[in-house]
Amino acid sequence: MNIVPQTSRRAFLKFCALSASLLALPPEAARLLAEGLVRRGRVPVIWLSFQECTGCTESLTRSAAPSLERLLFESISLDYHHTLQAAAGAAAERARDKVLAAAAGELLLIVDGAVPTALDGACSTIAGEANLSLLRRCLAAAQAVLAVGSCASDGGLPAAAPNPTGAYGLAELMRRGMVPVRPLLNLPGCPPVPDVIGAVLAYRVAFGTFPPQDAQGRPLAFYGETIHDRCSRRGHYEAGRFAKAFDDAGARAGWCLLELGCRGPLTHNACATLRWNGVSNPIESGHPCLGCSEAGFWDRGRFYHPLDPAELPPAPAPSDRVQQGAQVYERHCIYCHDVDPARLKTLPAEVPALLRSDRIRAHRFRLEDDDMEALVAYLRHAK
Amino acid sequence: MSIHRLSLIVLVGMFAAAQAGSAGTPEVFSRHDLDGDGYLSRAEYQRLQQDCLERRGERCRRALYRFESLDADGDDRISEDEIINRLGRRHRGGRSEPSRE
Repeated sequence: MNIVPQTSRRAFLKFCALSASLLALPPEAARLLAEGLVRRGRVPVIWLSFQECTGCTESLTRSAAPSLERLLFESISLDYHHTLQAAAGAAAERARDKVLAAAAGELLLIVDGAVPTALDGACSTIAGEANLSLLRRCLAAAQAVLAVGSCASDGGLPAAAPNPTGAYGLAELMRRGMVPVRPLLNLPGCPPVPDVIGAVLAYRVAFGTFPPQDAQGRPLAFYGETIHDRCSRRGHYEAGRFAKAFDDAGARAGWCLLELGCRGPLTHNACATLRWNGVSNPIESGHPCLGCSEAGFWDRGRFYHPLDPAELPPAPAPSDRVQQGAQVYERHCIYCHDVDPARLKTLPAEVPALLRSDRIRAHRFRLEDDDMEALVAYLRHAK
Repeated sequence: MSIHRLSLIVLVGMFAAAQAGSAGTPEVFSRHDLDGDGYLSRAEYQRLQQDCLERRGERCRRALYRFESLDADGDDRISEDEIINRLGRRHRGGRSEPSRE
């Protein structure tokens, strides 16, 4: 099935370029992604929701890049999603079983929620069938499986101590031999960033594989760095400026939330770079990162309790060069720009050319090369 | 509404905006110009000083000129030219271009 006629060529190529960019693929990958999507057509998908809160489905339906309707109508054939199809009742269950038979071996299975195993799976059922039984049947017909959210990845909240339902994530169920083993990609997060779900689905459809993963089965493109690595408040962390309470002057001024229990330094996710549909993330909204994309985060001590300093990565001391750059910024840039250089839109490497281009009137200063280099070093440090 | 009519309205709007812009309203040159009038008022400058103090510390606040030092013409507001001229004299490279009239 050719998907191009359903949208304009320009929009289709833009969608491919955006997805390739989100996945940190090289420039030529956008073309390969486009060719792959056209060649492979729509992939049959079944989405199972087990012990969960529906937040992951909310996340999918809020994906802006690519949007859900584009995913549904052009990249995948979402044949079963009982949360979205609740009104269809038994007809939805029949449609699912029909797809399981017709698309055996080609099916992409998506699971959100943990799977209860205690009491023969009686703790959670769908249409009278235990989650574990339904998962086994679907996995048997699946080519691969995508675990969306922390609950499907590692058990999440249902598996938190004392885990009364005997809940597990997919990887643990496969490891224990309780379900068929299939290629698995984990997208932990409570819920995961919507753009990540969409981009990974596009990659799978186009290339027939999952993108490169880390040791926990997470895509490196989105989970390769910590929240702390890309945090918009990182400059305050380096400078030792920490909010002490949620309503103090430091919190209002956007200082680092580490002492309010932020787990950004230990948490791998794309919240700080992608934000939620490019809008914001918890830290930018004034709330510390809870570390929801790391396994077992519910049982890792109290929320809002500062991390043990021994767990923190060592903070590099600002070099003299960086200090010099900070002074250049304070003596010149700050009159027109934000006092926090991390908010500058221009990339540090592009600053010298911009300053010397005479394109901006207030930038007609002729900074000496030494000061310019120090300024760039400082801006890099602050970013 | 047809596309042609919509385009005409947009073009007329752009022309009107260009005319308004040429009437002498200064461009906003600083993100601290909160009311967007093209100048930093005394209140806006005080807010910048306070922001520096709270978010960067005392060193940053002291690095800022006093309001009076920047307000060369004494009209109780700071223009882009006044900042360019004042800063141009201070930094190490010196100022190489005349200010725009």
